[in-house]
Amino acid sequence: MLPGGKSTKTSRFEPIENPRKISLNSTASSSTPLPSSPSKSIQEKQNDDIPLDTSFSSSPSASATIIARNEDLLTQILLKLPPKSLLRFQCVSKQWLSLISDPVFRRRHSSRIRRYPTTDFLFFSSDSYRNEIDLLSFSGDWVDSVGNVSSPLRYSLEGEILSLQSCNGLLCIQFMVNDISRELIVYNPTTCKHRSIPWPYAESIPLVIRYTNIAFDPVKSDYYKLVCVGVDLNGTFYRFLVYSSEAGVWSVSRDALGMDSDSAYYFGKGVLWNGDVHFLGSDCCTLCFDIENECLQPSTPRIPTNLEVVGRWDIRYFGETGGNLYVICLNKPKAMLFDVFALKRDYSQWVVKYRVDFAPLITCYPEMKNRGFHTPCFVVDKEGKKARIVILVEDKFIYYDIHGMFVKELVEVVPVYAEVGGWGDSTWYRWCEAYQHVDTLASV
Amino acid sequence: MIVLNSSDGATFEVEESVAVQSQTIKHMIEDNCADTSIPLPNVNGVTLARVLEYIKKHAEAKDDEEGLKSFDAEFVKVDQASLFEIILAANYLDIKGLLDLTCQTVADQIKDLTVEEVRAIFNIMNDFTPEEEAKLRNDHAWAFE
Repeated sequence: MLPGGKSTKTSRFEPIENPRKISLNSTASSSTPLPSSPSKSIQEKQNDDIPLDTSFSSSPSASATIIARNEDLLTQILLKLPPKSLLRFQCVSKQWLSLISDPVFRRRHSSRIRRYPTTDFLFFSSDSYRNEIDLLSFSGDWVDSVGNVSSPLRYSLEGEILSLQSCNGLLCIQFMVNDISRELIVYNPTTCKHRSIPWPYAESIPLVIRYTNIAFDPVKSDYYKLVCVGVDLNGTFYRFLVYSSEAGVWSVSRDALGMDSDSAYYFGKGVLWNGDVHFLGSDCCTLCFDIENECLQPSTPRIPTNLEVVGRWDIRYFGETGGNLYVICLNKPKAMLFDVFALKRDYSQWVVKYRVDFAPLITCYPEMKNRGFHTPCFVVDKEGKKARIVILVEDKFIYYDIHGMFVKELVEVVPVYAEVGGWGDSTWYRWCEAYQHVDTLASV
Repeated sequence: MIVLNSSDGATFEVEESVAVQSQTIKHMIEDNCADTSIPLPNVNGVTLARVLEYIKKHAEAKDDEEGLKSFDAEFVKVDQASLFEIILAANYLDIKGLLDLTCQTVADQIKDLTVEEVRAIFNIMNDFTPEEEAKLRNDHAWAFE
């Protein structure tokens, strides 16, 4: 998928000529790469397991014609197509356009999330020189496409992106317009449509608005909600405001959370899981905001890390994948050992799902030790049989397959700027957040 | 045992417990329309044979998820015309699993095709003016890349 707009802006990602696939299985530090499969260009499609019909005869079959004329049957087929194909097939005929752009059809379609075996990630870097949203899409071992998602947005909105948060394919973005006013929009990069949301306000309670998160679960509801965290003017407590796209208005939750010098919460990234938006706190518990009832629920128990004091950078990942909520946390200070915790569905405890040792990677990528690394994405399939950590090392994205014990290079990242004045090498590769993305026809 | 007659006169015998996977046949049996045999004027012999193969397998190997998955994958490896015939039969006979499987297969086959190729397959007339079509393509330019 390669979203763009009228002018497809190039992404910060570049394909790697001969991406290495390195096995970590050998006892000795194995830096001899596995013979890599013939490099496939990004454009090549992976159609090996789908029977390619060779009988695209010039005369269409009678049954095909009958099916096309039966709206019910045709809709059944359309519902099973990915969003990108559907947007293209709107051009087939006026009937197809009418069927595909029908809001009822789109709701039905987006509620059946059938993930084709691709993994899409949206990356947002908030450095002010480049304020773009990049997309990386990979399936199996190959990168399907890279792209830039913000170009269509740029056409209608001026300003700098202050913050971004995404859930199941919809984005919630705060823009800074004209240096004084801020604007809030919800954007669907698949359909390229966006909606301006009235700025959050609470009638009787003046609040300074800090962060806004989007909660969208098409399986549960066609509508999305925005959860906004604001602080009262004295800086004593947090209040939560909820916007429902169904109602189109903001309401204040009755729950207030006292601001405590002991615990702080990272409200910039709320993760929707099990009907709650979870916010990670410095005390290693997550605050749960119940989306449906619009109130706070009891926090989850403390993540049982080995560390006595957990610094913000010890938590390398917090997010949802494969139906579970995960936290990747450092196991030992100065070690390359990490624990992957998953929260039990009854919220009773966090369990260690995997213990991942990055030490074998250091031999292949010594920069990980010298320059550090980020783990913006973690992907697990529903059965838990395949777990991969996407790692940003210097200028490359690689992924580490935990079960298969191998590392595969994905893309290279173009630095924003190579030098800044006399500071020499200030290549900027840092990413603020990454979000697992799904193409969806959901309306904003 | 139930006897089914295809449109072209072929007859098939199948156990009632298997045949009722077809809601259509199930209702006919319940409404007592099935004394001697059930006529299926909308399904030809070849297609009916395939459909029966599917429902027989799904009846006998009901709990073998893996086995059914690989059976289904092999089952749909037919030419497109036959696939469409099976869709029509599954629709007429009201066999949900088979209909879902075949529709998904067609969707997977057409998802990367061009608009013209899709029109050709389904014999659809392009009723847009060139300007209308150009505008549509432009609005979602990225989907065409």
